[in-house]
Amino acid sequence: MKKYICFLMLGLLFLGACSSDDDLGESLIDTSTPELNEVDEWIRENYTYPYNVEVKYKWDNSELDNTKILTPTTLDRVIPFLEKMKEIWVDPYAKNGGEDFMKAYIPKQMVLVGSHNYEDNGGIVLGQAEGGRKITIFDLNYIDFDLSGLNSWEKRRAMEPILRVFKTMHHEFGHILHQTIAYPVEYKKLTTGYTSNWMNFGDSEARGMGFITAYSLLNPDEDFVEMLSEFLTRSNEDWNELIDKIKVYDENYYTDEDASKLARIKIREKEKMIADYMLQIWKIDIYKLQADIAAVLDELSN
Amino acid sequence: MRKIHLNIICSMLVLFTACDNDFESEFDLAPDERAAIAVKEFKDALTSSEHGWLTHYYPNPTKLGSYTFHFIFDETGVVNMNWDYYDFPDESEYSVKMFEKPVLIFDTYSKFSKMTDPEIGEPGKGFGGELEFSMTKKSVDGDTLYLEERVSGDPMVLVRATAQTTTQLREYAKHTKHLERADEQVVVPFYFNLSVEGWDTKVNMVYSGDKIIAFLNYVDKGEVKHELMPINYTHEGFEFHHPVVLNGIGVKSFKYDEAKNQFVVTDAGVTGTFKYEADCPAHIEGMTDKFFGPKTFGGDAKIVSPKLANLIDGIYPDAAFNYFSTDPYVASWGPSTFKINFADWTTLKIAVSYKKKTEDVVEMEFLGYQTEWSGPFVDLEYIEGLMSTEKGQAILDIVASPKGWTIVPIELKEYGSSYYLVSNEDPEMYMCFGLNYSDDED
Repeated sequence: MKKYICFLMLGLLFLGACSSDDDLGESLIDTSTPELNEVDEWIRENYTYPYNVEVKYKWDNSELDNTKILTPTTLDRVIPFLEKMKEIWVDPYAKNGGEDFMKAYIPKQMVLVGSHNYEDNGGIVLGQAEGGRKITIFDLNYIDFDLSGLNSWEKRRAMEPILRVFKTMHHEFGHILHQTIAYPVEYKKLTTGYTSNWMNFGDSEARGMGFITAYSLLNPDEDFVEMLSEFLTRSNEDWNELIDKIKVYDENYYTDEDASKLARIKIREKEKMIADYMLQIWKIDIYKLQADIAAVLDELSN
Repeated sequence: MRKIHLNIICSMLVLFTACDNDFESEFDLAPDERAAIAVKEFKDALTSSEHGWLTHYYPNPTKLGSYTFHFIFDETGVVNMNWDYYDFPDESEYSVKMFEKPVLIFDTYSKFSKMTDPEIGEPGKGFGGELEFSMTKKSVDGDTLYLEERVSGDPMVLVRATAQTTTQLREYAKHTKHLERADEQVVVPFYFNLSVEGWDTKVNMVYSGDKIIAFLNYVDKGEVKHELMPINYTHEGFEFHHPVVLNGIGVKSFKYDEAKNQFVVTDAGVTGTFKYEADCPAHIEGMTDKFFGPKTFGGDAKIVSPKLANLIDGIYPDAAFNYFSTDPYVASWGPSTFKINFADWTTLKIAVSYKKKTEDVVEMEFLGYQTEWSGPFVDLEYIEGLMSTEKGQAILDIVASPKGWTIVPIELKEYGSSYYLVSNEDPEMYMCFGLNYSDDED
């Protein structure tokens, strides 16, 4: 009993210590609205309010790898890029998967960087995703959406960095989806030969092995998102042409028809498995999604 | 039971101690208030100058010279700027934030971002500059702000600009032209030598415009010395990154004297001049083996002194002189050729043997002419006809002079391999080779 009395007294002392009469003064947390420029306001209207996304386009070293040599974005390039990102990535997914789907899974922080991100081996990192929450996009200063006045060859050249960056967006978003709900384990068994030495292979060589790109060879997760991103940044016609033209050559440089057919079948099986996964899990018809994205890309390049 | 009592008493003692409200901070204000004041003071200092600030920024003072920027910071977080390199007004968003100290950040891409752009300078690494700077101190009169790079700690000093700064900034590039040998209009001897009263040696300077850096070489106490010296242009002339000190006399700043086409030392109490002269004050060992040895490949000389270019021009009636080149294959495969290339893509090839006269002098021993596979120079008689003229003979006298050519590197190899060949027959004739060679290791 004495024990309880002691604890009671101790409790009273604690409560006594927490006198509410103390003046805590002004909050240390700065809750004032920062000064917003035109770009900030546009981002609020188009990304922050509808999707709860923070877009960081100003230089913030704490968001980046300090060992890398990088530059900030050019202010003039921010809105055009984000507009196109909405048209090519956000809106088609929202249309086909629903607004709620996009609101739930869109990365909540996007960091934009102007320069290339070089690796020590000379390679370039196009984008980085961290745990489905943050996505960092590089190269912004090299992407120009104004293709007016260019001839068809110049347009194709100008479209390369555009397709590259949006392929990166679809790639990283693919990771978020399969990390949320995994794709069927059977996908991992469709092709063998995953290797960390993927950089020793070319894309054509990889396709002959049943992988859509050389980077797909790294592991099944990368294979899955490479398939998805390559699929979504091409029209269905271009996609079919790419697959149908896969050829494997024997040691005498003759086409090995059987091996070529097998490679095409493997990629088609992957395509079917991805289509089923997207439809069953996320209620998204990737063929419709592909058509919607292709329409925007087609308008941009013509 | 005793243990419980002991614990309770100890807890109460701790509680009473923890609730001591008499703690006195060493500061009058809370940390966040002091941080906010420091940020405001930094921003106020930046925006306090009507005409902005001038800074000579060395993005990498061990490898590169300085870029001069003129910044005007406004209250809304925009910094207007221009630089000395060429006239291109630009702007960037900026902010001042508190980290371990208040830090100025150049938020969006501008001319200043070129200091960190991996596409410019060393591939993937850029110039080595930074975008974030903390303020270390302010001069008493407030006219100088001492900043330092947040990571490397290298300084950036902002000096209060005046109404004349904008105009003066455009003077800087003129002095670049005085040091660059490309597109040189005035005929001068090659060696750009610094003589100072009180020194018993001259310092020769070879300038590399792409890195804004000077290669200095001189003889000190009988020993040939050389160093890379980053350059900073001013509206009057140029400055070294740090003083060159010989015999206890340090020299750093130079002003252009247009009447004499020379630079005069402006350091207080020092008299001296940088002049174009015919004598080479320091001969560097190993140059002949390095650039004309058996492992050496050829190269192109597209920077040619006006006097040498005039000598060549007109020898071939169908096209103007374009550039010189030597064999693209290794010298040990000889005989080598010294090629005079013309604007119509034809080449007059002089067969030569590169002979080492001294450690830094090479002689091009004349062996004859070589024909081409097509064009007018397929015909040996035609070539010999051109070269037997007075002009042709004058060209050969210079090219194959027994006095040879002195080799003057722009830098030593860890930073590049370009070099000048300066005629010992006539030091007003020289050419600059951008070299590719097989062995850059030793």
